[in-house]
Amino acid sequence: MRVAEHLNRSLHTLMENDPSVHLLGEDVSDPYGGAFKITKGLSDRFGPRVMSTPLSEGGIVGVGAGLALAGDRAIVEIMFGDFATLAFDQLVNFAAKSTTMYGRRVDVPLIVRLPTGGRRGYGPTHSQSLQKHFIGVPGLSVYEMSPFHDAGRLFTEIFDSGRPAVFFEDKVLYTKPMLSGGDGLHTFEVRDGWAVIRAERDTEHVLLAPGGLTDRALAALRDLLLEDEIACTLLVPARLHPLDVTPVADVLAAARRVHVAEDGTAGGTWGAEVARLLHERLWGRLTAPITHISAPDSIIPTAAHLEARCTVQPADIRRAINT
Amino acid sequence: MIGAVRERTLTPVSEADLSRMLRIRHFEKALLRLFEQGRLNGTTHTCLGQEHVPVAVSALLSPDDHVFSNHRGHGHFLARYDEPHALLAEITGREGALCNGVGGSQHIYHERFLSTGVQGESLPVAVGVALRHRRTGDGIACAYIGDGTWGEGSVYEALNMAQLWGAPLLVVVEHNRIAQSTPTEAQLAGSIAGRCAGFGVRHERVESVDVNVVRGALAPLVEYVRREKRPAVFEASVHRAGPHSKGDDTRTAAELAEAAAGDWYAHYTRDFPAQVAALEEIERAFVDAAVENVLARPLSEWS
Amino acid sequence: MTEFRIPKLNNNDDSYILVEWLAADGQEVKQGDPLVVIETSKTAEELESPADGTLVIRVHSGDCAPGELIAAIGAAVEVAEPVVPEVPPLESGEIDVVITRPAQALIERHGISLDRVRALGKKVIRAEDVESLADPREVVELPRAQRQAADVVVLSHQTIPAAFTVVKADVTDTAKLTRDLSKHARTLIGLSELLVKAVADQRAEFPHLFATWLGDGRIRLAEGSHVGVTIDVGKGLFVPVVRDADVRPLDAVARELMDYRMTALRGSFRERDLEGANIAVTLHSEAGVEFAIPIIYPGHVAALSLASTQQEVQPGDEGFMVRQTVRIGLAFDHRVVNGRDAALFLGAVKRLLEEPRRWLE
Ligand SMILES: Cc1ncc(C[n+]2csc(CCOP(=O)(O)OP(=O)(O)O)c2C)c(N)n1
Ligand SMILES: [Mg+2]
Repeated sequence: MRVAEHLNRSLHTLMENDPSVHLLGEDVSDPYGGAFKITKGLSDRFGPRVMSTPLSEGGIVGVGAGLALAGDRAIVEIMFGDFATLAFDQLVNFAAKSTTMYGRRVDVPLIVRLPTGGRRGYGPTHSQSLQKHFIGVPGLSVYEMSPFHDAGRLFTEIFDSGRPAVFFEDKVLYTKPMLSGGDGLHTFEVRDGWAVIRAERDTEHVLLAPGGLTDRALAALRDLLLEDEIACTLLVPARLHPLDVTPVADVLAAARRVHVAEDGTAGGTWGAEVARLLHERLWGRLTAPITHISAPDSIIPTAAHLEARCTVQPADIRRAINT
Repeated sequence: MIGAVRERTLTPVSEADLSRMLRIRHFEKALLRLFEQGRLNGTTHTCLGQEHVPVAVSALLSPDDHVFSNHRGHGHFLARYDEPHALLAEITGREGALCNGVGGSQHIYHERFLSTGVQGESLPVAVGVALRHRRTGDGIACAYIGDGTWGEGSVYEALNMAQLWGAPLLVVVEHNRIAQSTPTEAQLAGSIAGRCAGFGVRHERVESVDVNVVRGALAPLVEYVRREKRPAVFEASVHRAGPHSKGDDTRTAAELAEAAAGDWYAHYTRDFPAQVAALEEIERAFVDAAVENVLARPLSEWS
Repeated sequence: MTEFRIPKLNNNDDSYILVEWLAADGQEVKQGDPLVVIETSKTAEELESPADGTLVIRVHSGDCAPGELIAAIGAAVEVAEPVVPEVPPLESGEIDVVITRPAQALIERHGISLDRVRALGKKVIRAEDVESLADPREVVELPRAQRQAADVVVLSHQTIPAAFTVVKADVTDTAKLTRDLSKHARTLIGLSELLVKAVADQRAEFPHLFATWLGDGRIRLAEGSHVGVTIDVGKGLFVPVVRDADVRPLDAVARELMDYRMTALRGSFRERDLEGANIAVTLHSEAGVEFAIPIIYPGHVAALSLASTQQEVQPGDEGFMVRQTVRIGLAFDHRVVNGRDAALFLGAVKRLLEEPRRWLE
């Protein structure tokens, strides 16, 4: 099953099992079913619990927060993740802060879904990966869809946490199959929010990457293993922030080289934060500083050849690990 | 442009309403005093001259309704809840505070009352809450905003959605002709009425500072929001008799005089001196005792 | 033969899923026959056969990309497109073995059977693994003690910038004396024993040679002369420690060394016998060894070596005479001491060994 369909089914199941779940977003209703078809069939099935909204990103995230505050659970789809900037106030100053700024725990079960990333030629305002701008916001969780993780379980986990979350979904990932078991080279194991992808135990190299990079990371891993004879374990966390590495402590303990890859642009990134955290944890055991792989400090151009230059490619990952 | 309030005579106010208006006034005055004495941390926005609006509004709300308040929210709170000690403890960071001293003056969440310090931010949130009311009963969401807040885009996104989706949302605008230091003419083109008309949202405006008149004008609107499950905007013309926050009033003497002349308190004391004198002493003493009580408490704790 | 590649079906996807073949591998198909179901992100599409002939399926199911060769139609010939060594993906995710491309090349070159590769018991087979299979020479793992020794000498080499000085001592008179001493003390007193004691006695004058390097230009001085002495009686190399050898008499030192030799024969050293040295003496008494360069133990500043006694003809008062000489080497941490200190230290030790009368005082 493809990731898009899996997401769609997860939303169906979620709304079926929990009548308090409401979904809002631009063009999410049938027959259109959202710009990426992730919400297909939901409005036909759940009627007014699914609302196609005006073009008001800040407004609809606020409405979602209001629903959440009043006792519902809300999912807001922002058509392109780039437009999350228009909802920055509602997310950072309202939804996230409200969980603590009133001196006690206030639950805000709100998920803001963000179709994200380039490699589809949508150009500078429809291709960026904004994860880094949401890292370290008190009260806000940052998730990213991966082909290994069950989206329905992640949605439930977020709602149950009572913390609002931004949920990044790589747009190319939508078209990829969900992955389980293994790929003939690597085994895929999911544990406590992490996917562990490896050909053998206790590899010297460990690569951490969000779900959207999975296909490129796997391609790099394949070449590294088959061509360069370097076995590297890939770790994919579902929750990027706050990042809890304890479930994969064993994998990290065996590592001598750690690499972090991400789609965001260079400078003040999620990967840098991961490197900081791991340097503290693994200092003295690593044989080299943690390697960081990100998109360059650039907007994402439209033309395919230019876009490829400004997005992370499998060869970038391979080169970084193999040098 | 809105002229000065012209009434010479206000109608007699019930003892309960007058007590509450006086309590709010003395609460705010006490805060300004504490501030001068350096006993308040940060900032505080008082509602001197505007006390009658929340007193008029609160009587029309049910406990199920949600109230969204803003930076100038002490009156909104005190008109609804008989808990001045808890509010004062919140503002001074003492034990018994509404939010353990974390939120302070501008960030309060108590039962169905929520305030936040970002102008206009609460309106879309109020739409969400109102949509839940629409589904589950006949509660409404009531959001207070100032005239200056009509510069924020979130206000229009909220009005649009509220009208589209039939959200029982009452927006109470305390139009005090000024935003911090900027007069309304310098920051608001057209009119609030005109903007509401653009969305097809019902709008009423009242010029009077008579709490009875304000409540009388508002009552049918609240009924409309509750029964028809539609949004409405109620604009009350008021005067900000005090500074924006503390010691930051740059208005000219003439402007200040005009604001003072529009203060309900001045009119009502002139018209009903005996009633005011009798109740004022009680409220002043009550607030003074509350201040003494709260400031003697240990500091609030937050885990 | 016609290649059957996946056409580009839409603008969004850069890969599709091959859901199922509608014709069997090896089956005769006609042009226009529905052949395969390909799922895109939007829909599932049936593709038709582009030609008549025998269907030879290359990709049975799973991920596939636009332009990818998934089958050939025609005479049943091999489709030339070398791919990654085929390791069929297993449903369970369990993997048999993964063979890297360099390893695969070696397997082919040496004609090694897959069974032998599997017998390695490894999941990932790399070139070096295959090389080990291809090389007939035996690979032996060293005993534990030797592997530990290996670690120690590597650490020494990596961390201590050592210099080396050697002196020659004339021990003709001393050799005679040791016999008397041994008789008198009722234990063996030879050059080794004398050297251990002679070295230990230098600490007061040469404290730096007994110190420990702390880094940042600082050393910690020793509180006693604890001399490690190498003993190898064929059961592995041990370095037991003669503690406080400077304050104990020669015969006590000698007796302890004798005890250690016995212990070494029994192979029953205790941890504390082997701990706490701050200088080492290595013995190379096998005949013919002229001199030896010792390894400085990590944490020490100096190590001495005693080579075997040599007969030397030297010009003397009445023509020539035969003298007995021995070479004493000193390896030292050059961060702590210089050649001059080393020479002075060796000189002092040498004098003690050359002038036996001193031992009788
Ligand atoms: C988004 C935002 N911008 C600016 C401010 C700073 N600020 C606080 S109150 C205020 C003026 C608000 O004017 P108005 O809405 O008329 O309310 P009033 O103070 O007159 O009651 C300003 C600019 C803020 N709190 N939030
Ligand atoms: Mg104002």
